[in-house]
Amino acid sequence: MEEYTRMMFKAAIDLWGEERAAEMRAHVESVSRAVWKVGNTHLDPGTEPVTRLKHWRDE
Amino acid sequence: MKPYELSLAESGSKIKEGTLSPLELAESLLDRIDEIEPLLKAWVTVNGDQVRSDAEESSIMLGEGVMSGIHGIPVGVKDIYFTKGMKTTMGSPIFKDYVPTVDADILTVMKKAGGVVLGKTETTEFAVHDPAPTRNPWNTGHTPGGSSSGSAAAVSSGMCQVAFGSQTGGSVIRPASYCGIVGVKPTYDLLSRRNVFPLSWSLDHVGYMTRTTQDAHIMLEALTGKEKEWLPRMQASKIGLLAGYFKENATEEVWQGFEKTVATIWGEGAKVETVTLPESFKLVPDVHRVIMSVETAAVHEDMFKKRGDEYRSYLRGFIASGLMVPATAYLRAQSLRGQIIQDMRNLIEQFDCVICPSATDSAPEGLEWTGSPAFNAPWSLTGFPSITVPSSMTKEGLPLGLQIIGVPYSEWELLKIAGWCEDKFGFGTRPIDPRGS
Repeated sequence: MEEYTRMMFKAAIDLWGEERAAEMRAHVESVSRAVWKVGNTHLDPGTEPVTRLKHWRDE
Repeated sequence: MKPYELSLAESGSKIKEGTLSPLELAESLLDRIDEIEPLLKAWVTVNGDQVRSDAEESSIMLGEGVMSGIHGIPVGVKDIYFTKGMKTTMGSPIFKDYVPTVDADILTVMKKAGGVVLGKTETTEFAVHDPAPTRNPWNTGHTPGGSSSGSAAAVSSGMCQVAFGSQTGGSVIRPASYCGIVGVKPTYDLLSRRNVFPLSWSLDHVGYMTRTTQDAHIMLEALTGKEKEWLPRMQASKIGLLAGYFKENATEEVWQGFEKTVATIWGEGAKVETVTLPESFKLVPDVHRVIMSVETAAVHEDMFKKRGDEYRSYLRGFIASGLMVPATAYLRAQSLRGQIIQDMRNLIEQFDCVICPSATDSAPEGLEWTGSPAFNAPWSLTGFPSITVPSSMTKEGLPLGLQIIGVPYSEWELLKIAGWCEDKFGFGTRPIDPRGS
């Protein structure tokens, strides 16, 4: 997880520059940790994501 | 008693019987705003002339009969709801002069039910985290919570009887709890979100706050167009007590207060049983964070690229982080969310409702931090309805709330249970005067 978080922070520096990335560090790290945990939780491939197709009808 | 001190139910009855006019009520609320707004800073916009004109029109319409329980009632509206012809700032300098040409759908519903827009209430920036200037009426040195900061402070202090908020993490229930009032976050999509500025589409909820559970019931009737008997009850109710995660994350004082509240409920005859949370529940904070960061980034991406410097620091970092999340992580999070919803539904279906504290703590000191949404985000993620009712006080004199949660579309039943609790707790329902706090 720490390796992934470091990698994401490096990507943030490339994207936003060193100074801006440093300001955002806490966010980048906490979101990265969440992404890592979600990405490393076993998932049944048959479990469909929560998405909806909503048809609008003007009345 | 002055009209602003009345509950919505009391005002509605008086308006119906002709002993109070909508204009008299509006004038009383406007006077109250003049008195204490400088101390609380709950409002972005109040247009007195427009309110008086709308209240007069409402009086005329009474001649054709009462439209609903909120006929003639002035309502506070969070400043992310579009209001036709009235400034809507989203708590951001980017929208400081924005005047929508349409109303949010839910305000159209409210107006058809006879409600009147009193004004726009303060919000954190784009309903996220960077705080509003609003202060807590119970102690002006403390935050009222957020993001619906102005709505909570306004209702609590008697500047209005009901106000709209919105919740993506904990933005209705937490400020309502910190300000000692009733908060309602209905089932996802029960109330239209159209033309309410989005934060995170699949997590956003329209909600509202009142000082009593009966008022919350009346507002729900008006917003859904349904009439239901108001009958607070807890007959042979089976209640699930959520411990584990909630006990671990509550402050000691909050948990002790919660245990006393549970003892009261138990003593009054409710059956309370401690429940074990499903394994998937531990994923809630991470799943919520991934979904919210990506959806928020998607909402703001174009504007962020052009005007990123005009965002405050928390939201800027949150959007930037969201833009970096892989698409597969977002979809995995939405899949795990489906599992969490199923597991929690299986659990909650065994009870009439489940309960936990409304927030991890009482209102934090200072205005920099609006508090943790940790006890509310699970119900924003699952879309299950939740209600907070004030239950007790801390040693410092700040309110604590009891959060009541049920399966989708059980809000009518939850309100009955909340009404029963309100009666047993005996927490005051009259406005708080912030002067001297």
